[in-house]
Amino acid sequence: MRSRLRVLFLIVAASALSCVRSDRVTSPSASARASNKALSNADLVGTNACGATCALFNNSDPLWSAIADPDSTAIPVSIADIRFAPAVGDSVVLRLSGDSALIATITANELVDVSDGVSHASVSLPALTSAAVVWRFASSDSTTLHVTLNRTLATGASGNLALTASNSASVVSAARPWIAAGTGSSGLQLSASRLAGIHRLNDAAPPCTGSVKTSGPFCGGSGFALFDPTPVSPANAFGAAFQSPPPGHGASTTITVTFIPPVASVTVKCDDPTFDGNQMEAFDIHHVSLGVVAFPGNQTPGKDVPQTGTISGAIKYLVLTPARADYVAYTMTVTLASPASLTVSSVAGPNAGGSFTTLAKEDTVSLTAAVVPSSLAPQIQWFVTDDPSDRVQTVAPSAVPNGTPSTFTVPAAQMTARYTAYTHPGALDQKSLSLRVWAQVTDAGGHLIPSADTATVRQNEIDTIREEYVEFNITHGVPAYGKFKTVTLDTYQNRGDFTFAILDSTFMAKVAQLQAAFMAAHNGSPWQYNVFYRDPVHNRYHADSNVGGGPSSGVDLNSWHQYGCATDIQTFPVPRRTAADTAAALNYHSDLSALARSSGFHVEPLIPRNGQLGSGVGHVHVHSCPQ
Amino acid sequence: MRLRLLVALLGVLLAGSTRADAQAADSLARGLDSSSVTARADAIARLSALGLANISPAVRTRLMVLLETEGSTRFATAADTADSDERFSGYIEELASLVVQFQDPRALRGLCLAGLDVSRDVQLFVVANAAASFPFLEEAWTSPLRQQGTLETWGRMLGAPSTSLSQAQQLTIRQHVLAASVTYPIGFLWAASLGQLGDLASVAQTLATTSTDPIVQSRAATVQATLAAVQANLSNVALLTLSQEWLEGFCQGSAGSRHGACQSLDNHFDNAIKHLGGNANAARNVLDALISRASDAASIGDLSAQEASLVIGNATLVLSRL
Repeated sequence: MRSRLRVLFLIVAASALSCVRSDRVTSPSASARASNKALSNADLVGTNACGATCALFNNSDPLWSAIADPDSTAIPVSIADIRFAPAVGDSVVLRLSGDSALIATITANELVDVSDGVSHASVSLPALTSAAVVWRFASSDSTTLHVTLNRTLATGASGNLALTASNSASVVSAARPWIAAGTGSSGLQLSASRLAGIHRLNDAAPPCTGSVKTSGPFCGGSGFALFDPTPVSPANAFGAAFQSPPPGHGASTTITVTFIPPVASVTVKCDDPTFDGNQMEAFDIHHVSLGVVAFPGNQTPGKDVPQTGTISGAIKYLVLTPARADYVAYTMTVTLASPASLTVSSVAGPNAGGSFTTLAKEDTVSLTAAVVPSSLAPQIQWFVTDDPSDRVQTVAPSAVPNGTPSTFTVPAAQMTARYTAYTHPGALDQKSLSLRVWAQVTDAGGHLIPSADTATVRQNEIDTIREEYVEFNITHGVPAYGKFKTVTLDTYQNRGDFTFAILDSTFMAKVAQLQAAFMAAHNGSPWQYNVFYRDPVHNRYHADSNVGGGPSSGVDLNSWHQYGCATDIQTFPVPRRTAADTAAALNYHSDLSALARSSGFHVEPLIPRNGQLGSGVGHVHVHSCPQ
Repeated sequence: MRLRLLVALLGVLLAGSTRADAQAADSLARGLDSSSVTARADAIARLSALGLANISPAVRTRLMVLLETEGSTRFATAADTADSDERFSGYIEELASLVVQFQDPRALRGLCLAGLDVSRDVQLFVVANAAASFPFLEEAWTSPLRQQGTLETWGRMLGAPSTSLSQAQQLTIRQHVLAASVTYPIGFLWAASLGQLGDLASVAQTLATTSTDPIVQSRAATVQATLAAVQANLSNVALLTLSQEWLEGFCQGSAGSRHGACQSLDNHFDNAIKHLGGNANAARNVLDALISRASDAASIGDLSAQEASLVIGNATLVLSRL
């Protein structure tokens, strides 16, 4: 932990300091003085050092990016990263200048935040019209300050506006991740909703090649170009499309064209390059140069020998730089590549039909996605949440590895409270675990591309039953998937809550023999099975009366009914109104239970109730289960 | 060499696994002390699932003590069980089924008091330890709800080809079993059936014709048919000897005219058996007298109808063979 101390002065202390440092705050940068013009985007983009005064922005475009939007309120507008080699006591002073009417539209809660990643200071943007020391270095450690704006504005506004940083510390490098986007339009720091809007346009259009002459849409609105300076001038010679303002044939100045979204290639025809030094350079979203193409001059004023160049890549912006004192005009065509796309291909658990349980080895859900371009595959981010379409709150995994294919483990700790929320038989959407999955990837333009779809991984009915065994930790384990068969609900064979049940075939055959033996001895005697199968939740919560509402008081929580190898056989007569009836039922019970024991069944014994004979006489529980 | 190493490694792994399971068993055993039936039942079920090999001697002892406690106290006084309640009965079933697997004679009392209605396995283990079990079966017999299992077990004991029971113990058992033909006929019938006691065929026949309960009636008919086949294979001497043992059993503690009838019939059996060796006519005469005496005793209530039918039925069969 570095022991650097930071002394942060907020706006309340700004006035006095601004007086002391007003000369530095207002003095133009060396590069600005040299070019005798206002700082432009191009002055700083790609420049490693901005000297004592850095223009963090010099038009009102950032205000458009700072519009409050529900989708992106938490994401600040990144303005600049400046790396300093400070001396102890060095400071950074910020000052906002521009049209007072414009500044008046900026509300006080629009903040500039300065941070070194550990500490930060926030000051009101409009208050920076009075220069303020926002950072003072208490250490000589090399430090990068990140300058951001929050997003609170109700609307954007256009006009002259500049934020400058006057630094007493030595600037090692400066980069400005925020790129001017043109007034009233979207910039790099697009809100998520605007980004989605652009991509909807983009998705709807095929790849295309279109000419770009001025700020505005191209390729049928699939792309948007922003010129700086704005407006750019139409060219008035050689049939070219545009030139730097003002109109006429004076010396050209640098033009920057920003593309939304990034384009796959740019071809520029440069008319009338007379001197060497004309060039174009393209950059990606990270301000990395994608290439430089020179437009050699013919050294003959007035004779047009056009030069053409093409740069390919994920081009975010293009800088057209004229040779000194040369007049050139441009014609530009761009190719808008196929938009990045992402589709969730499959989300499946390991069990039949892609189902799953939280049982080890059955709890791993596999994910695959189709992404264009495929080079983005390793960067795919997965998001797994509860499926909101059902009535079960399924606990989702806390993290899913990026990329495709990927997997996640369904958390074992699920909410068993759901089982008390319904009465027999309940609906699957009250019982089954279900998770919703979607993905996103960041394309070459830095845009988040959400998957075009969401997918759901849901337990099927059999695994929903098996999940009960897992979550209630039923003693004899979780029955194999294949043991469950369709059995009509609310029949004696299936007294559970599902349309599937286990009926152990060995047991069923054995109990059929028991029935046959009993009937052979007691021809004409009544015989009635009350229940074979119960699922754990039914056994636990509904078995008493099928009405739910609380744990059953009289069931064996580890009952073999849950494995389809037990049955309750009714004794007769029914009802038992007299002592003679009870005696007869006891004879039925005794005879059947003795027959069952002699046939190798286990029998639950009669238990006295308050010392009285008769408890449990109503049925004979027998089971014969694989141990 | 490599194979030996592999085997050794496997051994270590298995030993580790077994130790872990044994520790789990010891941990689960704490639930046996719970006052909650559900908690005890859960502990039993989980111990059962772990397998015998993982249940230490100490835990086995606790389980045997628990079964005995349930059988001698809670089993007889359970107050919280509804008619369709399977919680307590399921617990007892699981406990007895686990304990019997120990094949430990120390479990006999618990098994007799709480386990005889659970499974054939329990009954067979008790039968295999008949003499040691005798007092516990006597204890179980005092509770009406335990009589079915007790009778089944006694029937198996009487039908066993060899037994550790003393003669006196056997007579006591016969006394109880035949008495049950009156008080608890369905239990009697199963005792006769499971012991394949052909000498009781005539009693079963009597129940088949006299019982008003359809279940008893039809079971008696079935048992009678089965026992008649067994009875047919018994020699005359064996049939009379067994009948005499029944007589000595049900006559235990008799007094007054019943005692006189018992003594008289016992003498007739001695004579009949003696004459069966060569003097058929003498045997016939004795058997006629025996039958007559038994009929007289039944008519004045010195013998029950079932006692009389056992004596008269077997004597009549032997007489018919002479």
